Amino acid sequence: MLPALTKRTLSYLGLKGEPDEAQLKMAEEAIAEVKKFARPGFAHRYIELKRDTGRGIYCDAPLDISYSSLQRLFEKGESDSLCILVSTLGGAVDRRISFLAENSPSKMILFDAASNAYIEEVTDEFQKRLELPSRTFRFAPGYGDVPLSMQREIFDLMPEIKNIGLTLDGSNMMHPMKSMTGLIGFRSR
Amino acid sequence: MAEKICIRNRIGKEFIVFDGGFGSQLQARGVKTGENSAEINIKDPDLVTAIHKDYLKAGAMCLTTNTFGADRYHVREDGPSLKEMIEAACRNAASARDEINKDAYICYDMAPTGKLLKPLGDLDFEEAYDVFSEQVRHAVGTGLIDGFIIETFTDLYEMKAAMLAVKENSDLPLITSVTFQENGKMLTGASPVQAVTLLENLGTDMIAVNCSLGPDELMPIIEQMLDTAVKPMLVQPNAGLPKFRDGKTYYDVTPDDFSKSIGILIDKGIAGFGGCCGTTPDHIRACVEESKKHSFSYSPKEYKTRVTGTTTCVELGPRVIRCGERLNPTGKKKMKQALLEGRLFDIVDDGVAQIDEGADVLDVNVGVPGIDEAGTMTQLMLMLQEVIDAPLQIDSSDPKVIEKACRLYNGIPLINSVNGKKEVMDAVFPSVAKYGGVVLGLCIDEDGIPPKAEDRFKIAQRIVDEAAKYGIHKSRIVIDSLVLTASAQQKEVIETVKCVGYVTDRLGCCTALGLSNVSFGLPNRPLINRTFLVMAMYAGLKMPIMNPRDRELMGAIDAFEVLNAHDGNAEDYIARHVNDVTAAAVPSAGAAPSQGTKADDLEGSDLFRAIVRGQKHNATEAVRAMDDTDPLAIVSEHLIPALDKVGCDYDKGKIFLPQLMVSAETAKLVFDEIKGRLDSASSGEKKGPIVIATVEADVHDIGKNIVKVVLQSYGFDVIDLGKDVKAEVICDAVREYKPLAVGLSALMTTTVVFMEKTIKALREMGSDVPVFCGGAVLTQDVTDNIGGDYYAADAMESVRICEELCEKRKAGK
Repeated sequence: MLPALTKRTLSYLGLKGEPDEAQLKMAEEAIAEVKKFARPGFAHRYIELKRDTGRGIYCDAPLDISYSSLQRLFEKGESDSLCILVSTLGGAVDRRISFLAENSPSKMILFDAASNAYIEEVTDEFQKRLELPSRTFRFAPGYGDVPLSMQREIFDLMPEIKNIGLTLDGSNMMHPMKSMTGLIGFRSR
Repeated sequence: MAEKICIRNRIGKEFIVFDGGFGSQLQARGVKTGENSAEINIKDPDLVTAIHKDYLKAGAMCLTTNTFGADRYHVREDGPSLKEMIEAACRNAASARDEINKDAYICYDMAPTGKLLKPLGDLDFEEAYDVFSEQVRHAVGTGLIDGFIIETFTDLYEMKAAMLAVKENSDLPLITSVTFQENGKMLTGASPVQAVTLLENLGTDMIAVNCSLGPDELMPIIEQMLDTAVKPMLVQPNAGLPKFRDGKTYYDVTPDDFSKSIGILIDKGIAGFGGCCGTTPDHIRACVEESKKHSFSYSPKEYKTRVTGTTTCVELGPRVIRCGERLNPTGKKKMKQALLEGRLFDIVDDGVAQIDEGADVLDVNVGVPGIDEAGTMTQLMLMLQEVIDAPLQIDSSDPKVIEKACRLYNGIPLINSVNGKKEVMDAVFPSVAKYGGVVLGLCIDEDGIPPKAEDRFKIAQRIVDEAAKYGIHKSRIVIDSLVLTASAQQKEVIETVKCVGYVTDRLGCCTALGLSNVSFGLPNRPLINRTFLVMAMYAGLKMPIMNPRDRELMGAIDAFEVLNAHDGNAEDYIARHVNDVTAAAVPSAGAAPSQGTKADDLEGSDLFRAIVRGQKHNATEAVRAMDDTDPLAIVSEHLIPALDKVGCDYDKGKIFLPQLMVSAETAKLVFDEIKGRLDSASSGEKKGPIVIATVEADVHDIGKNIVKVVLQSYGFDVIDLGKDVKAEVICDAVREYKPLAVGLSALMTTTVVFMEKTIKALREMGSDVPVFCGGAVLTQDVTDNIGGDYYAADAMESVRICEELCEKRKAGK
């Protein structure tokens, strides 16, 4: 049985089926390298969800969640609270990617895939430690009908995000780029 | 009071007994969690004094003031001032002392700010320093305290700020305590040995470990520290690991069990004990009783030469340490230019590359006339420390640059350098002493470099003696006996080697040498460098300053470590050199492992197989051997079929993307190899050019880079405009290069509009250049919608599109 991190890395690399020895070695080396460069950081915030026949589900905070993808998510999960979870692998990973892009594109691809898998893994682990009861899956702005501009609202709402070294650019992309924002509904009562 | 022995004179000579948990005692006496505990010093002084008294009665000889977290970030606007809280805390401890045991000591307790220092967080080093200095000044101002205990630190960089604050604002004894996670590392990744190195070099009186774990979990960490520490150690564990019940934290190691573990630690050599979270006066009482059954067995370990980076600790001595020399503008036009233009990222990249090539430490020198050397040095140093965890060697001839860089450096730096000149030592040693650095001492003085080893050794001796006056132990001096050029001063080369031997044997200091000077003016310089290196290592050289890209030179060190029996079972040597001996049959070191296809079942020419397997070395060899083959035939009969096979395997999912890329990189190398031959053979027939770019507002260029490499491997001339490229720039490039096609990439839905805008701009300027689009959110539909001509689902599809356009153009002609 391969570790989940290796599996995920291989699938991000587009591998279908079982990896051979060479493929496995390439992925494992990339993962080891990512771990060397990554300095994971996290910020999270709980917000109460309220219900109103007119407005549907809404936040007890300046954050617009009227989009149907989110409404459906929280409706289905019967969520009464929202956890916003922001994570990053730190700037060194980005720099390493740019570095490899110049030096060895094949290694860059491996490293990129491994870092994507790694941020998923560390974020999952962090989320697990929060022990959110009856939680929904982790929804990221930019998917469904939720625009990426929601990132801006989240960053305004949570100034503590800057403590983990994250900033937004004009396109609402996060820097360092190996970072994630997630919205998770859960039932606190 | 006046005749009381300073605690500094008792540390290391007898058990130092500290008190136990304070926060948990406050809570046990009714204070709510979350309440500002420092304010209680004013609100309820009797409560605080009562806890102090209980600890004194239990046998504690050192009280910790109730000032955990008493800093400017925890002062409420409508509450008492910081000064008032600190004074009250010191008074409360003093009144307990006066009542119970006048010989007891009061240590002012200083905790982390709770903020992260840059680059991890947003707190500036100097601001952290200010936060701590403020507390130190208030505490010293009371006249009631006997020392400082800085505790529960999880980041050594913040610890450095706090230690400097104490050292620069008082002369009182200092105990420094760090906290580890269960994995044996500090939160920021530092190891126990690294912590010991930093605390000792920055001048702590006693090293301590506290909090987070119980005595048993701390055991292996404490053992590691005891194995390296020169200074005495204090331990203050929690009463076990925290447990949770009904939303409350509790600890369940009993005083009896706790004291038994402390007893074991005493036998292992700790020189003091106390408790942290969950421990009570009963725990301390039990420990005092237990300690009477054991003898005091602290013994200082040997001084070693260690330097630290953000998360690494490098010891010079047991193994030869490789110091990368390339971050130095001397004789390097490109780096000089980068420094003048402030392109520090390019320099950081070369630092990363050197670490990749195997450097353990990096020399950093930014000495270019006309720049702010101190500012550039610190900026570059901090940028390097963000991506490199290895220690750095701060290299400057200006003592002010050294001072500033040492202050902000995260860790214990190497400093390059002092020499036998009195004025240089006077200017640099204060920084070495204060910031705990390890300094290079050059065997040169007012009279130049002495020709004879004996005389250079005398300078080394003088440097060590002078350093001692500043309290710098000789383990923190690395002697450079200076390399002369064999072509000019042939007889003096061996004097350098002799001096290395003298310093190693008689002085007991580590040695460094900048190698490459030796070969100046001679042919095949690497051969001279390598031979000289081996001679010097045999004489005792511990740190060559060298170019880690020279693989033969690096290999000589690996081989030396085997022959000198430092590399047990030749493990490192084998790991690094297993592919060397059969270089013709297996990929060269550093190449990706060979591809999935088994060696036996792949038919075709050597070149064909080398490309399919992504064996760069073999491919170059093979194509070199084909120097009488028509270059066009090499392309059409070997290279393209190999790439087609790889592309086909990739499409079928037999190999994955990185393998496709390794083959593409290999093919590109082959192309570069035969480019000269092609240009003269084929009447200027070239494929392309293809202009590619990631569109405006999009900074994702990974996909675009893949396309570039694969297209290049098929022999296309690719003009890469980069990422976040405006429509106008792409239009300009089309006008200038008249490309065969334009490839546009976008990752996000929000940036597809810029792709559309670019295509529109191209059409408006009257160009009918074919445009192919790719990227995560692109589909055939989207491509059609925004006016693209082709949709390229992946890099291989881009190749097919461009090949097709190439054919069309040929047919058209």
